[in-house]
Amino acid sequence: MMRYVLTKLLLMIPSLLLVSALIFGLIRSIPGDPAEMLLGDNLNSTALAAARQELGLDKAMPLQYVYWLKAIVSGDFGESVMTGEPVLAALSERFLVTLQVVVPAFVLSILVALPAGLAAAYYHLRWIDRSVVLFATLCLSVPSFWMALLLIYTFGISWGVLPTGGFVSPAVDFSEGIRHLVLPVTALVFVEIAILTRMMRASAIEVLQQDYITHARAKGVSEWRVLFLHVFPNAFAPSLTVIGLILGSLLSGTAVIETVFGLPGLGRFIVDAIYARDYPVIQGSLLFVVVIYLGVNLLVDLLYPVFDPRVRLS
Amino acid sequence: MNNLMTNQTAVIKTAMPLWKNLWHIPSARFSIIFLTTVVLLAITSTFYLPYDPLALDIDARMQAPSGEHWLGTDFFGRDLFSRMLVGAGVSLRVSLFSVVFATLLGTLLGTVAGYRGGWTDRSLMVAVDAILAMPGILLALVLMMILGAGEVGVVLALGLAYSPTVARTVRGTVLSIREKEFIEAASVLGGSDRHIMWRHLVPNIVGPLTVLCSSLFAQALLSESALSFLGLGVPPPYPSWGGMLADGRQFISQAPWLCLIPGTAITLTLLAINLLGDALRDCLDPREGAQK
Amino acid sequence: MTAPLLSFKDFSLRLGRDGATLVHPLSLSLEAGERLALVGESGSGKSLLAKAAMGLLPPGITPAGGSVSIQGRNIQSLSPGALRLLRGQKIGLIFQEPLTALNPALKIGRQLGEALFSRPELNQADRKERCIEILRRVQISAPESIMNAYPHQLSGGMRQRVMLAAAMLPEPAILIADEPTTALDVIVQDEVMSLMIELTEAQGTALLLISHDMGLVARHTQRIAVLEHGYLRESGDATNILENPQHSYTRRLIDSARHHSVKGESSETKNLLRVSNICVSFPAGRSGLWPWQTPPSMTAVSNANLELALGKTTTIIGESGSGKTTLARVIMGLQNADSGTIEFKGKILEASAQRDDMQYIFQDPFSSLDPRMCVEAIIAEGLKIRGIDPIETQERVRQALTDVGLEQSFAKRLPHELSGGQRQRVGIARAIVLRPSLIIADEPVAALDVTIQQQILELFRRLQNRYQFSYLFISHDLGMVEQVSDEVLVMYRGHQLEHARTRDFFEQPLHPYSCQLLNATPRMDHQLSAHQSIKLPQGLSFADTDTPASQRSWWHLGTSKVAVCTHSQKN
Repeated sequence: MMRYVLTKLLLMIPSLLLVSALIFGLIRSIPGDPAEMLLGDNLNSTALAAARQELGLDKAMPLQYVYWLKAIVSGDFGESVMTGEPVLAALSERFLVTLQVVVPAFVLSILVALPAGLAAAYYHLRWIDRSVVLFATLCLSVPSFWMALLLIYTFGISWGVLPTGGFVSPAVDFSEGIRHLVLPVTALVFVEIAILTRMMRASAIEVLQQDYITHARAKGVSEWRVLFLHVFPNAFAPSLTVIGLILGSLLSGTAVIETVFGLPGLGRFIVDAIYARDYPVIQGSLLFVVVIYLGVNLLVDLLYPVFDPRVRLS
Repeated sequence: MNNLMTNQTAVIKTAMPLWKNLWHIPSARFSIIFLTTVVLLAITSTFYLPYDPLALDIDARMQAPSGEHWLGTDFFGRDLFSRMLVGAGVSLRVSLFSVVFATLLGTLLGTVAGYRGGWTDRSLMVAVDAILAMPGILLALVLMMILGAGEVGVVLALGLAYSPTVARTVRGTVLSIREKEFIEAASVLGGSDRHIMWRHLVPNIVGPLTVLCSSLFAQALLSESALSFLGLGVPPPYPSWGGMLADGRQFISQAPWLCLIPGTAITLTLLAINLLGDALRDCLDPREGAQK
Repeated sequence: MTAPLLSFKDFSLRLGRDGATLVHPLSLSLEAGERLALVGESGSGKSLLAKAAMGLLPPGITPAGGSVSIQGRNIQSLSPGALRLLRGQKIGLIFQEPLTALNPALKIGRQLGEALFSRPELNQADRKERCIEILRRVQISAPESIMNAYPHQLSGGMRQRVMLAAAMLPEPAILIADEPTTALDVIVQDEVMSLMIELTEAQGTALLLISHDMGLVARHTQRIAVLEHGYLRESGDATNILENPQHSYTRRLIDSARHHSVKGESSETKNLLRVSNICVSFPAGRSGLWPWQTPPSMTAVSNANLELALGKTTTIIGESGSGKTTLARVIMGLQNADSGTIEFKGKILEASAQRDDMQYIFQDPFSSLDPRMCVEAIIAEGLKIRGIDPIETQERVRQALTDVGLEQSFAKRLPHELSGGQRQRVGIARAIVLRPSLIIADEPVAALDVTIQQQILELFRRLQNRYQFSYLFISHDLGMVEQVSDEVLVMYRGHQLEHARTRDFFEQPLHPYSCQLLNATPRMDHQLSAHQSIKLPQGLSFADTDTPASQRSWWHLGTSKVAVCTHSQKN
């Protein structure tokens, strides 16, 4: 087990190197000079040269990459060109906000999607199945930002029961914090439910046709037990990979929702940085996002054998 | 030459009942009719546009839908109906081209990786995984910064961001087809690698690829709207559905139709594409075929 | 008079509410302690009847009339709970495919324990004890550790024993076994079948055996019911039916199980293929993390030798994992050998050289044809690759279709529009249209129904007479060997054990493994004429799988060759 984790971690190193080079290359290809942007109106050649030196932009490209990598490894993600705050600290602060939206949405979608998918598969082609499929397809077709606007209009503006945006930490004011989270979480949850439900339904339909299900029934096992002991683990295993992918992309891909609701989360942070050509922030946060994505997938790999013992950790 | 001819007839033979089967599924029929209508409206709109979609009219700002302006006007007094029609063209064109681009690039990479195997496969897949580890919308955003805003930029950015997904699927399909005995049968008959690739591998990838493309098309439309929504898609004043939704956001309490109309259009189009994709997958499922 | 244990009364099944009739009204009953066989091929409705008896019909299939009752209770009128209890207490079920019949995510012990749910009076410890006890009864050694194993850790035979154990655990009144041994190797088949008979006899359980194999049925059951296309063709006492079949379909089924050798003795002819000292090994398990680590390897074929004359047939026989397919693939050039030579028509073949005069027929008629090409294009492909002009191609395709007994109208059809037998005919046409000298066929009939198998074998014989093909067949089925081949080559775990003329092999098998194989195969005619194995001269013993290739030698007796080693070397 430990050995497996270590091997996996070791294997992540080349991918991380590749991704970091890719990120670095991409960011440096963005037209526009961050030094010029930093100086704004006080543009003169000596100040520019000084700024470039300070930012390390006067060095050769590969050298800049090596310096950046060296700093990253020692935990120094640099400082934001715009605000001057350390990138890593800013990242963690923003990431906490994103977590508070993503984790509830993720848990909720699992709680809804797994039973819904199972029920749809169990009543395959009956009305329960048809309505679940219709609902899921509908959810899949509503863009999250459109859902967000609808929610804001209905609950925030028409009825005025919930705030239309902004963020209050639940640690500071619990009830107010929760009130601010309800709409963003709801906007996110529908698409996730759609994807997961469809996935769970498809694999459960397949499992229900297997001989071992008939065999379990032939032994006189109750339908509940068939569903939860025989169908669920086998149908859940293939969904697990998808769940990992969803969580990975959720943790980084909520830029649109955060923009609509004015949440100071990670996605919004990156988008702002892209607009501001804040190299250290873009580089650092993209790398951060990739590490999180890879970490979530490693976790999925470790969990997989629990549901499918045929896959061994070795 | 002769080889190609027979092959095509064989493919067409299976393709014919596919359309018939699709037409028999109500949801697919709705989707085909809806999408055809939208596409036709978008294409022919230049001939009967009631207003110039870019023309400002300060006197007619933020008018609710009426006989004069069927879908109302926006903050600058531009006619929403005209903008919706032109925007449909932009959104669909951008999505279509980015899917085509992603499919071409991804199929090439996936076929080579799946068929060659070994180190070619491994290094290509490491690269593909590396790109997949970055969230698509952020990757597209960065690419947009490099390529510059505009239709071409969006197409290239989305195409590049989606090609790894295509490459992965195509590689998986190639690997599973390679396991099939008919590939070995062809090599027993003396078929060269090229012969096997073009006459057996490629025709059998078409089915799964069609299904993938339909879901990618939906994703591309969604991402295009999201990019425009974030202000990095098709630059103003040119209309796109996502951009119009973003513009309307500020006036959601005074003029809700500015959001409602493009939002509903995006949702309905996505719904049609998703339903069509599901129907396509049902029709192309080999197990369904085996039962008939 | 008490009600029969299981009875179908004018029972019929159909698809959906008013779809096609799958089983036409039939009446059939099973008395306590009796053994009844339902015989038929795919599509006969035999498995559906079994499922109907348990109230486990797949969705979409509904009873259209009549009734099924168990001990006089109509199962259609039972509540779901009562039905579940009935299943758990009275009926055991075994499926054909041991790979898919056990839940891959649950330990064996847990799945066995479920079979005792209908006995709530037992406590945890009792249950465990009973599970271990029954595992011991089905001859599983170390049952305690098997209880903690997952299904994928067991072999096919072991899994089928676990299935048998689970079915017999609640001491049911009826055991329904749906092709219980079809997916297993011949010798394992026999072991599992004997166990099943032994257990049902000991517990007084009635057996409903569903099978396509008349040989198996003849050996083990007292009554037979023959089903075809959903009709009950005839039923009655086993010996009666076997000796005096009334329906033509029954006669065909019996015929296909009663293999008669049709190959006559023939004169020596020119040698076509000589395979010498072929060795093949595969990487076993996953390769190492680093490219320079050599992965562990497993020997698939060791020191194989084979000769085949023009116009003759040799069959390589062996169970799964014997290396028979690997050897055939090496000869065809689909697989590289580690060492050894292949001499074909007097020339040594390079491993990668194109085998122009050799063709291959695949086992699976479903995956060996490109689903997107029509029959004509499939048959013509080899000709087109060779640049034959279109007019001649068309003519030769037409001839090939006639040769394999397909009408010209099949030319434009797609593979999914054909039945299994028709597909295999297309596969044969694709091979013979090139007029090769040698045709290698890997289990060419294994995926087909028994009566179709007969037709295809007949086709092979006819084509050989007409075109003088040499055949190299790969098979696990002794019946096929007897009908079509001149010589037999027995392989076991990569080693050749015996090489003999077909008649000699059946009358006087030399190697103990060959005897075991012959005894395990249920046959209609010379039933249980247990073969005595030959005593070897002093100092020699039969080579077994542990004997290194270098210490093996062949011992000749008449036309047969057997792998032997000396005693001293063996120890």
